Amino acid sequence: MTLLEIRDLKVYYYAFDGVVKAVDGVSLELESGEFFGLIGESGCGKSTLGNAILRLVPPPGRVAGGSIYFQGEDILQLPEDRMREIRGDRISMIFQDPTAALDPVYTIGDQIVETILAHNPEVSRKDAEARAIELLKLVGIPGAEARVHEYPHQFSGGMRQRAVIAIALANNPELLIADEPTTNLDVTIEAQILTLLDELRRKLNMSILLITHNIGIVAEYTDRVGVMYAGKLVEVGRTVDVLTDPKHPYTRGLLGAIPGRGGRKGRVTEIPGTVPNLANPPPGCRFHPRCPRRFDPCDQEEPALVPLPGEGRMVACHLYRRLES
Amino acid sequence: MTALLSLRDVTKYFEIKRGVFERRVVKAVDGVSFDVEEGQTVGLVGESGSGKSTLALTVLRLYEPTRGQAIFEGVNLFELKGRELTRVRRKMGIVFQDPYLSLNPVKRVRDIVGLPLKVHMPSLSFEERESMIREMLEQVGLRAADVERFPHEFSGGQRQRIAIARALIVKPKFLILDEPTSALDLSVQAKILNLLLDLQREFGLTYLFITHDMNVIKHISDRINVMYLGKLVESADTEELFERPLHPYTRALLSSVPTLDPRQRGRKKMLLRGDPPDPANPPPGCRFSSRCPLADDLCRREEPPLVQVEPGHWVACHKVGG
Repeated sequence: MTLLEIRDLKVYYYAFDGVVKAVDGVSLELESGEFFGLIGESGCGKSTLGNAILRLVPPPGRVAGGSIYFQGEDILQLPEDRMREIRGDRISMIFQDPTAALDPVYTIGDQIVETILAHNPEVSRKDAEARAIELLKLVGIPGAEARVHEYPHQFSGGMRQRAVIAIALANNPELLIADEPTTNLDVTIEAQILTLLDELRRKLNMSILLITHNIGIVAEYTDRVGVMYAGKLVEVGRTVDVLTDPKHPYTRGLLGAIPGRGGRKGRVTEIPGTVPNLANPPPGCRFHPRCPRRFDPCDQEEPALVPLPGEGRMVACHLYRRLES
Repeated sequence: MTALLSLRDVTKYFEIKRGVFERRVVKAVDGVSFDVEEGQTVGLVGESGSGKSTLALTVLRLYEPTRGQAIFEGVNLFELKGRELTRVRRKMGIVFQDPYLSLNPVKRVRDIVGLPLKVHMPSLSFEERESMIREMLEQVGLRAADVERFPHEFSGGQRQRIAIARALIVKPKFLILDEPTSALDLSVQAKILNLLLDLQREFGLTYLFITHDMNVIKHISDRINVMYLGKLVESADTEELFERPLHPYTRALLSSVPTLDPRQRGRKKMLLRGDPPDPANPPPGCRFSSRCPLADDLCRREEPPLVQVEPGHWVACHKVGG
């Protein structure tokens, strides 16, 4: 069942010196209960896309077009008070830095209780407190009964991210957007947190949209993956298909750039050139100036995302256009 | 082969004073010994708080060592003073993780890259210095004309090239690379790693490469040292370490690294319980004992020594070898 359907979404930043097209016509569907990875390098628009789903794009950014259907309803058309009912309740979000997400002057317990009561005013404070302890246990915080009364600074980095997850899950969301949730954490803690998220997803039957630059964690945990480049979704499909048999030249370049796969001390495959300026992106396919396989139409015509053989596989590249007809 | 740098019992403690009475000692680096062979790349891995960066800064005498020796070309760096130290330092360079912090924003590239020349080769004329700077910039993949520009005009990858040019301008033999690609995107990281490998071949450089990224370390290192809370827990050649990790911490670390092949995700992972302890208050005995699945009473009482279990493979664990 489709939980979220993004159609031709455009998010632009209206800066002093031009319009930066951070997300420029992205369409994407998220199934109920799935673990979806959105991958790309800095500035590709992946975080902007995540923020747009919650309507939290900071100014001078604005949604410039498209729609986002959440369970059939276009949330971009909702009045702000209706949106507030959804945010933190049916869709919630966690970020890279758990310290910035927590209020230092309230206990962890108070912050969970506040989240519950904001959306469920009929619940008693006592019940909300009991639920807070239950949530801390759920995310694997030992001694939850005591730690619910502690402040964020008394938690380690990994435990803070667990507390943030507890807050995000307080109202049983159907969708959790996780924007680089483990980038600040050590790799042994990262494995704990992602394993936990995956377990919770199954247990609570929620969908996770994981936004990351780390191909390893996409390979390890997600069901499907979307690859973004310069504001466009260039490839999408089952993770196992995309990572073992990438179709788009950018996806191939990205996978080739991972060190340690070929011979030791050999050359790591480089992608020539640099990411384009999104205030003035190249015409045609945005990847064409760096693409080793560009040909006639690439610098003129923008390739559409077209289906390929294989379950839900799509790619936006002229190389595959012939398959379509 | 000969060791260019031999670390023996290198130790750095920091004293933290809280109020009038409370004093605590953080044993950031505690008795670390290993060799760096000439022409090799030696990797140093560990998580935050393991002491890997402190070790690097102590070796360069940017921190004063608490104890130990660092023998560089037969000279103990920890006994040098003043001019002698400056003379030896010319042979050693460092590149830091964040090229946004490590370059002075109000200086032109000429002054940033040329500064080590002013310190170590003050007799050079402006023209001589200028031509060395321009040549160095081209060697790291920038343009000679970039001397006029400021750091903010460059991308992250280009800034890291500037930092590398600055480190290499006085032709050192030995370079410490402290997470040089951790702040960079994957496609930019690929370029910097290739550049470092090219420069190493061209100038016969020896690298001490510090990182927490196991894919990077596997690619670039000949030998790897693993640190945990200030202690060296395992040291082996790269292939040996990846194929036969012996210390439970190394095994957990390698097991936590996500696989790049989605078909392998069913494999059994060794997940560690709990968080790394506070470096100011490590557990008694083996510092890993609080998270180790194999720990027993001995581990919680006595610190394990680093012993050689195979030629070139050293491990500090009561449960391995011995």
